[in-house]
Amino acid sequence: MSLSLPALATQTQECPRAIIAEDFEEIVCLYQRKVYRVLLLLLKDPEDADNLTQECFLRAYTSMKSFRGECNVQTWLIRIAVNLVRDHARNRRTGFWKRLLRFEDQCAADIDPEPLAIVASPERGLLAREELDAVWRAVGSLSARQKEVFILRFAEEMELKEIAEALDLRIGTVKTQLFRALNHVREQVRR
Amino acid sequence: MMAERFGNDELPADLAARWRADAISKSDRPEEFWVGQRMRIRGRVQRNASPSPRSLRFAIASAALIFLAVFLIAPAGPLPPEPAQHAVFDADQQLLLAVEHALAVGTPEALEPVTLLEASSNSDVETIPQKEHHHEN
Repeated sequence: MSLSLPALATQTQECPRAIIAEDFEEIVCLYQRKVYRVLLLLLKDPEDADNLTQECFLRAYTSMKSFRGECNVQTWLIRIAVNLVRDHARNRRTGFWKRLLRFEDQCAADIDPEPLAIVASPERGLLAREELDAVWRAVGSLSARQKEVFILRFAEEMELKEIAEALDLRIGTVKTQLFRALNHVREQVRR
Repeated sequence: MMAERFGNDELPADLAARWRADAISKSDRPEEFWVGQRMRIRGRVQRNASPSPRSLRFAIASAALIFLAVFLIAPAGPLPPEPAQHAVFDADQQLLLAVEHALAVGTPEALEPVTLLEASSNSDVETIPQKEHHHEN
């Protein structure tokens, strides 16, 4: 059974359906930005994020027949993406620090002032920027698991249950990891 | 100021919203990027779906090479008689002749039946003391 574009966008566990090849283009259009964003936030390297986004959809295509709608399409794709990041980290552990430094430099250059436009005074704007930078630094120093949970929760606004499905964890573990991540971020921002 | 705004178990809503907006803006790319990425994905999917022409060419070349090697190595006509087999035959023949000769000559003393050995040893008993005597002298 084919899924229309709106059906794919709203597919939940209540209406699990298999995916067929004709749906694939729509799936790519719908989720490529989200998958790329998660990969970029986790990897901190635009080129790697692009490559793994392609790899993610390729794997999704090859394992499409085995998808039985146990979770929604977004969760399924995020799970594939996170697994790719884990493999990637294992394969390229040596280049980690290099990429981290490169990304931090890029972050400094890519700062978009638009989200701060709502801030009234320049002083408050500066403080808000510092606060945001502190959060980025704190997220950068989280453990891999905590970072995954934090990014999916706050960048993608996923529910705890969805995060648990995407990361193949129990909800209790997700809560624990999120609590620790938030504690770490709080401590870093307070400094 | 920052610390006061933090609750115990959540990020402050405005900070979370700003951080999310910042994260989205960092991953924002022009439309051409997304179109190009979709094309690359489509290309990889198509390559994955059809057998790779490169690997097909490699398989054909390998098969041709193996065929050529077998063709060159294989003999064109019937095999000539091998001299090594002659040598083995001659050695066997010689051994058979030697055995036949030994049988014709008679059984060696060491291989004679026990009764014959006993008989010969009894006959020698009388001579032994004389020999010992001879040694004592």
